[in-house]
Amino acid sequence: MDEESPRGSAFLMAQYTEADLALLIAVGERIGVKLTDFFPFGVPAFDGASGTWRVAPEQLPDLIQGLTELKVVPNLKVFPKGLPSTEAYDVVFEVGSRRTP
Amino acid sequence: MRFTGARGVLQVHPTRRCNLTCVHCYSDSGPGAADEIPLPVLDDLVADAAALGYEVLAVSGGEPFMYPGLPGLLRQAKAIGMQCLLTSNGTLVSPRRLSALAGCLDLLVLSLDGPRPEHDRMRARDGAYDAMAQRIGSIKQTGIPFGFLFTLTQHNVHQLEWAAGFAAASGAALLQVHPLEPSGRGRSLLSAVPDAIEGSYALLEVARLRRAFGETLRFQLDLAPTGAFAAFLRELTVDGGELSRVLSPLVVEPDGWCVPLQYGFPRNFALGNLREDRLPRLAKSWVADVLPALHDIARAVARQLGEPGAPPVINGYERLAGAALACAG
Repeated sequence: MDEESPRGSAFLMAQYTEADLALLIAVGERIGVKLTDFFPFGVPAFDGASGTWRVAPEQLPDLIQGLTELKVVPNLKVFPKGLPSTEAYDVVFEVGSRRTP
Repeated sequence: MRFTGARGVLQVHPTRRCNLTCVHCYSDSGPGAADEIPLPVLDDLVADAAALGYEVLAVSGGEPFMYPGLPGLLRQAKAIGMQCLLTSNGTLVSPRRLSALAGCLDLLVLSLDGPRPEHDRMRARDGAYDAMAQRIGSIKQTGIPFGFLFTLTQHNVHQLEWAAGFAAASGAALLQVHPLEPSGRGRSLLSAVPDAIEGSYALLEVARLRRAFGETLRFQLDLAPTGAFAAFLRELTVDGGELSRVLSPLVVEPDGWCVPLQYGFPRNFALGNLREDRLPRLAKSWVADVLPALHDIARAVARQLGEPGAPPVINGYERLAGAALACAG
């Protein structure tokens, strides 16, 4: 356990595969939200991705719940749209080795 | 200041003697350690604690199986209706020692710090993993429910899934995840104490594993979301009831000192020493003289945790102990 040892979470991130990404995308598809932006990292040697869902307020809890049930939970950023009266949320995810903790 | 839910927990560390010298040991226990509480003192303690409403006796150490009075202590606690838990490094668990505890033990928790190389490194003993794992069969034969205690560090959150799989395959009922604490020999491992990022990952991993393992394995994570912990601290009240209503866990260290919440809690907030007085008298003066100051510290910590930049998850006991230490300094 020297100081140079990597974080345990670095190993979690490095374990990300295309199959994991398919499960992640499926979460949005299952509740019917649109992926408005998507960028895969490391093609052809896949090592992660980022993307954005545009989500109605009533869909947000289901999406977050579904994402936290994944084997590898993505980095998430949630932006309300239409302040002061929120009409939608942009949910931005990052997964894989490019994910910033 | 009851952190243990509905039931009051009396946590006793009867000895600092241990057959191992684990690199992260919070109590600096080992073969050469001499602190030990005489059994008659603990007999009085258990009777007094039960009368004050404590319902659970949790024994740790040192290595509890190196405490000669262990069977007697558990028998007495069981006889007065307490639930008895024991945490051990697992290397000394034998059919003979287990038979001496028959009918007295409700849960046996074994230390598990990862697969063999990581476990042996933490235990500072080659073969410690095998010695522990070989004894699981004996435990299962007794029918005593058992579990594992995983020490979370800065470097091993990815091994939680392995630990859960090992525990489930062994027939364990519980996987407890406890963050490495910078006390005892753990002070030399400051860089290995999990930070807020690793703590957050642990929270998510445990949530995921809970779903994955369902009813087959119970998980306990000794970290809390900061918001929930701060809310708990803000709602603390002194209700004037018996000690177990206002303090749980109550911790008894191997030199006889009673302290609140966790091993090594600053002594200026201690109840006193059981070698000098019985628990009811110590409790009475502590509730009157010390508890209000501890609540002040808890409220101050709650305010700090509400400020921008607070970590998302927290080791609550450790944070309070740190604040109490700063107050003493």
